Amino acid sequence: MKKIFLLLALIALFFGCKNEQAQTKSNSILTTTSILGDIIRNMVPEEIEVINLMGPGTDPHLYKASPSDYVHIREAQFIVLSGLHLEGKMAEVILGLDGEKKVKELTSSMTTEQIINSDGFADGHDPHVWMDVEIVRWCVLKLKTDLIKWFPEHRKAINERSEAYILKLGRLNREVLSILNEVPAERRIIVTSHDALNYFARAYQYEVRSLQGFSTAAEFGLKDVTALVDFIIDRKVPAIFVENIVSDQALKAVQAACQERGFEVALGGSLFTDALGNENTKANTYEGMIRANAITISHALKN
Amino acid sequence: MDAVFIILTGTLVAWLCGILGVFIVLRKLSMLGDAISHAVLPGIVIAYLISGDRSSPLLFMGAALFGVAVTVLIEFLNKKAAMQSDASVGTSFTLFFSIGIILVSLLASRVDIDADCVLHGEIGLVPFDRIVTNGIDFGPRQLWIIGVSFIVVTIVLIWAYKGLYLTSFNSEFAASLGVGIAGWHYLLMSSVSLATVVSFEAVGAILVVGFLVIPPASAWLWSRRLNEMIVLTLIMGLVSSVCGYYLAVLLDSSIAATMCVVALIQFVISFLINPRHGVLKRWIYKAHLSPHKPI
Repeated sequence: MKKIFLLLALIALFFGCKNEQAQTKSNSILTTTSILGDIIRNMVPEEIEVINLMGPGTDPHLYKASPSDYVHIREAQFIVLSGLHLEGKMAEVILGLDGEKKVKELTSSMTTEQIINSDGFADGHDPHVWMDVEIVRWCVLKLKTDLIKWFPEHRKAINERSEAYILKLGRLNREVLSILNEVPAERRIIVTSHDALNYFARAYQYEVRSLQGFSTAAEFGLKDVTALVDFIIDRKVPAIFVENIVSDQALKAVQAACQERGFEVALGGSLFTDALGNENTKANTYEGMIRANAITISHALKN
Repeated sequence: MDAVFIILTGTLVAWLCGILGVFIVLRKLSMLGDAISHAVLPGIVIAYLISGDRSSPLLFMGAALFGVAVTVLIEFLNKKAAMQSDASVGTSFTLFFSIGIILVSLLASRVDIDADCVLHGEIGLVPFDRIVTNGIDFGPRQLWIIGVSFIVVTIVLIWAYKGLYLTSFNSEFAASLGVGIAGWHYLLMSSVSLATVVSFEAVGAILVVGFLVIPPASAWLWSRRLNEMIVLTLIMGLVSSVCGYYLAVLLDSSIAATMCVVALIQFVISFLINPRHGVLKRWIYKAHLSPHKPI
């Protein structure tokens, strides 16, 4: 036993000697999801680097950090999280660093009326807020003040870029509304795989049904499938939608089950919910992703 | 400094799981770690329903309680119902896990709750979560928790060594000597379940399940005595942690998974070249004894 402790002490000494002092980067912001990264990118000037932990197409529920991600967290001086438990345990730890670093959650400025509480528990907040452009606009407006506090030397640029982005989001919201309003009221039903569209449903007056609960990791039951199939047939839903981060197998099974009972439901296309699309797609920005979703939905449900 | 803390935590988890794992592997209960990782789900869900808060310490306590409960059930099925040990492990944990899933789907289906996001930690985050009181930094919280658990478990095992030794190898003989088998067994099983739940919170499931089985299994291939097996397990745990970390940095891959892979590489090497059951040795031996030559 003694030998082992001695060995351990030796190892500790060995590593302790090359004590690399981590340099914090004062001119960059660390963000988590690709959607959040794009929003922040639009608020700050080119000189401030925006680093994303999760790339496009990465499911935040299933994200696993690699050693270089931890180096990023260690080096970051300014961190913006999405919040409302989207980042899980990592958020708890990063929020604990507040003080040593500057940490802010995009959603922290939301009011209780804005937040959708899904299960009646104090902690059961729905984190998928970015599906409502109006809420993102509000959060950007609030976050601007914090970013200016963090980077006083870029005050003017941040102010200009954020204001321009806020205007852009306002235009986007009107555009999306007009696209989505092309669908007649009785056909405004979106069936998808996981529960990411509650904010969308509230903002654009759609009804949303999903196979899984909130987490993409949860399992769905037989009853969920049957209930969903009944719902689709009962309401004559023209199309159902897959998501870019979830396998389309389950929804194909739902489609087949509808077919068996003599009802043709189309696969309406892929929606971008928890992550941006890849580099060379139109959905590689937050704006593009929201627009792509609106077009996909309207196209599939309109006629 | 981050690297030191990660490696130190990894090593201590390997040792904590390893010294218990030796007895677990000898008792043919290797999948106990995996079983516990699933069986804690109802504890987490019930604790969440009571507290309504995902970061509440109640969740950890609920998990620990069900971790111990499943080991009691396994032992009961094994001894009282005379079931095979692997069958009792399989039956018990699927029972608990399915109760957990039913609870999730009935009561908390609209919230993101499972062991992965509320209990399981991540070894890379260990250096960030520190104990700071009055401005003095005492180092990573999980390192302290694992360190203290390791010391406690070591003391318990030294105290219980003789009893566990006898009951692990020859329980009938132990019984004839008047050694209470069940008592030692419950002591070991509850230590395992507390140690694994604590380790889950620090480093996540894969590393705990891996370190509970792989180093002891590799060490078993080399050793003739229990103390040899324990020492070899500790050495292999240390190597897995150190090499695993640097390999993970090199490949930029998940630290926990890479540490497990290094442990598995050691197992494969042990499997091939160990002096007792080495496969390589047998092949060479066979080649020399070709069927045409009379012996």
